[in-house]
Amino acid sequence: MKKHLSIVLLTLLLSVQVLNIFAQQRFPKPEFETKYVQPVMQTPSPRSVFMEYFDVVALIGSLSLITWLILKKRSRQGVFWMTIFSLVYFGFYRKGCICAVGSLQNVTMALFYPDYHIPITAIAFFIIPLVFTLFYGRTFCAGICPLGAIQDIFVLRPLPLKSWVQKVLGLIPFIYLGLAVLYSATGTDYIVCRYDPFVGIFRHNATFMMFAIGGILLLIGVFIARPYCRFLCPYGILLNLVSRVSKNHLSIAPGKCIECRLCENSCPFGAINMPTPTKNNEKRNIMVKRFAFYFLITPFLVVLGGWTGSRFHENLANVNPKVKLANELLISNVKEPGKVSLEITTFKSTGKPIDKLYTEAAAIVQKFYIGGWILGGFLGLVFGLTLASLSIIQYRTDYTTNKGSCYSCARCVDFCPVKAEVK
Amino acid sequence: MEDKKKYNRRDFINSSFRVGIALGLTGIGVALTRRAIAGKSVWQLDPSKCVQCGRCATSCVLETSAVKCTHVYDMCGYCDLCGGYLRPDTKDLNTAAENQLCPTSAIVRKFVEEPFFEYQIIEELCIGCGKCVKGCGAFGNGSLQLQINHKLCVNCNQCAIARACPADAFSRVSASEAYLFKGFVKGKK
Amino acid sequence: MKQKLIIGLSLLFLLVVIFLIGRDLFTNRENNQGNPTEYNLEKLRKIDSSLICYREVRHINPSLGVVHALAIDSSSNIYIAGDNEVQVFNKSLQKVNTLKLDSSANCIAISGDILYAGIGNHVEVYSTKSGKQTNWKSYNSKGYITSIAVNETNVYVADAENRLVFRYDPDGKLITVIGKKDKSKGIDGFIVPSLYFDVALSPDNELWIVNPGKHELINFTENGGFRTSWGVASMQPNGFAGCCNPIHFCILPNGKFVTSEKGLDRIKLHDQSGKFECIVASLSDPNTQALNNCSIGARIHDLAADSKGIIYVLDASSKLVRIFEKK
Repeated sequence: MKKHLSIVLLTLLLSVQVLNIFAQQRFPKPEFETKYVQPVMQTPSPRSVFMEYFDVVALIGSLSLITWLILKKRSRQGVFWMTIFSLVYFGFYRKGCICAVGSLQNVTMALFYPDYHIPITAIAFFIIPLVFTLFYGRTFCAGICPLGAIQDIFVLRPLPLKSWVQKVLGLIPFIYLGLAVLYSATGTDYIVCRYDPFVGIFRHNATFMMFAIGGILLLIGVFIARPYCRFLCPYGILLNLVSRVSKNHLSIAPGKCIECRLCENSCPFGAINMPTPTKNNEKRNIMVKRFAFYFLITPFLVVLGGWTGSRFHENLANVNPKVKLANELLISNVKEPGKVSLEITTFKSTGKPIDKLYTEAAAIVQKFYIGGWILGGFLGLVFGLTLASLSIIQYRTDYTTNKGSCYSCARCVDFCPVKAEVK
Repeated sequence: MEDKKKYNRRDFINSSFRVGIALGLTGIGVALTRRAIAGKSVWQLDPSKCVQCGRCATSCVLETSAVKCTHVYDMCGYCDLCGGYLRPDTKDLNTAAENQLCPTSAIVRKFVEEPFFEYQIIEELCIGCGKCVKGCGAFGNGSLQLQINHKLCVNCNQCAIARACPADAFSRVSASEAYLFKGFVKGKK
Repeated sequence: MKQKLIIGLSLLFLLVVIFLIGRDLFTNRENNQGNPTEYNLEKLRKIDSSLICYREVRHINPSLGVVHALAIDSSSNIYIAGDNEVQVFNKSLQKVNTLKLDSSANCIAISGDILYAGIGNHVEVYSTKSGKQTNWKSYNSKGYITSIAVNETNVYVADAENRLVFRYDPDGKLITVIGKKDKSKGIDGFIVPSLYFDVALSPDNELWIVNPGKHELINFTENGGFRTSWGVASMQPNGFAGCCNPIHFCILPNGKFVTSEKGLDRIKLHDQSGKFECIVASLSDPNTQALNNCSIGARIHDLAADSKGIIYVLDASSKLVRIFEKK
């Protein structure tokens, strides 16, 4: 939140001033006669900055290595060992923080709040995986992301999902992304970090609910491979879109596909494009008409979504602590002043004028009104485009990876009988 | 011939998108790096804002909170009747458990010389509830203060206690000045 | 079939997870939890109203940024020190004078038209008519003057940092040092854990000094000989609570004591022998954080009484002087 996260320098400045005022005050220390030695005050230092930069180096290094293993060596085994490495390093050693998934909120916050000083590492963790994806596909997802890595270990009995189920559930990450951006752009909260299901496991420490959510997701992951990556991860959306136009990408066959169908069930994530059966060969003009229809109703969906989103802006805004406090104060003013919450008591003790809080809260609610329109419109757009894209059937004769949703885990590679062409 | 042409068109669109994304990422990167901070920031709480509500003990993502009571010895009066150590209604001044204010008996009282006593916090036992901080602040010099212990803090992107803090006492500070004590400056008595 | 069941259940669980996250985000139940480790000071501060024997009749608002100290002269003029000045109010609470000081005074005392101000480690002397007179030499470089008491022949100065009371003559000549630790004479010295160390003179010129670490008031001869003492440590109204109390006291014309405490924030009346009589006022207001902010070095709850026994209390958190009369 703005109040919590930003203004690092300002806080520093202020604290220096406060300390200077207090510096004049002294405490009459007892004059000990015995040779009593006062213990040293315990102020352990945080992890060094150098180690933070080392994390970035580790990210670049491991991404380069896994990309080489995937695209050049085509080695599933190599990817597996990289998965173990990042699980140990970025997961259990670094305790899952900072991760690329969460960094998108820091970036959003930095874009909306010029006075928020984003750490360089957060920028690096946001941009580097996207750059690699732009050139080589989602090799970050394959085994570097600790969240993906822990789920990948649990891909034991993957069952295929119907493609419509995948499409419908695939809309959830867009909602999650929209909310994450909305809440960080309004300086409210980092919800992706708050509901990170596996960070508790990496820390061996979490509330019961977060442990339960992490456990359930891993359990589901035995049958529905990588449920968080596919149906929740907001950063995955960005990677998916970037990966669609990536320069290079893992291919199932090292040479020409011989359509042997061996790889058909090899992908646990349903990310293999099958050859189009000829009976589905519809007439081109019907297809174009359908596409045009969906494409044309998309603007209406955007407006409808935006309007719906704006209807709920007060509910959305109530997540913001300042808005929540203002609401509680309003209610407590109406009702008899009996049991008051700690927030209200504390607020009153600060002596801050109540009208100022109301003005600030109203400004935030206004932001949420605009944010509600944008969020709803965005979801309407996504919905419309998804419908439109369903109406296009690309004619394929080969088995290829779906560049958007493929995690480049290289499982399919081992199933392909085609040997690499010797040039 | 037609196939070839189609392929080229798609290829061209992809390349355009790729260049666009690459430019966009560079733009974001450059824009943000300009206002980024080098170095590291960590969470810390400002004891002068703290109201000892007890949420530090319950809201941290760690099972035992990373917020601990820190004893600023330079401010301590070494009192016998310590407002941070003893329960208010204590009859005898001794270390019996029923006399201790701390719910986990994390404060050790040690006799120094008549009439002074030293109070030490056992970090492993401290849960960061701030009960002693409240007692010390009200009756004593306020030498017991809640602070995030950076050996334990995992430096979450968004501190969960910061979200729950009713006094807005949490903020990010530079890692080189990672502690905010009130009423006292190192080196300046 | 079995496969479909597993997929169905898995998807159901996935939706449950999403529902849990959504519910947690949009409802806020965490606020309703109480504090299991709460230290309820309000309960301790609650005072039986039948014990209260004074009532607030008026107050003075000196409109100062910070208020530090309070004094009353023989003709009931009220002197309020704060910021870098001393404001003077007459009996009918009209502002009659403002004295500029060189810096902020921690304590003041008034004798005739001479004002003694404790500033840092030394005493400064001002005339109410012609301003600054002189600076007295400090006892040593550290020092922190917290209280001054004067009569015709002596000026008693309490120094919290040195834990000593100095007896000066009105010209600033040091005559006696009171309370110096001396094992051979059985003098333990004063225990002053925080910067509160008060001294006052009774109407018949008996010297009383607080020993805050021992929760007692001690009567000394003017040469520093121990005469008598009273005071017990207790949370109950009959004693003094916390690490170092009382923080201020004054003596009424009839010889009764008025004491103020930090922590439980109460002002009490004790009889001539120190027996608790009743409560004058309890300033603790649950809606202020005054205690927490004031515990470090601030001069809170300074007391003074005029010749009629009216009690004046300096309320540092609301920056007022509150005036109490017997019910």
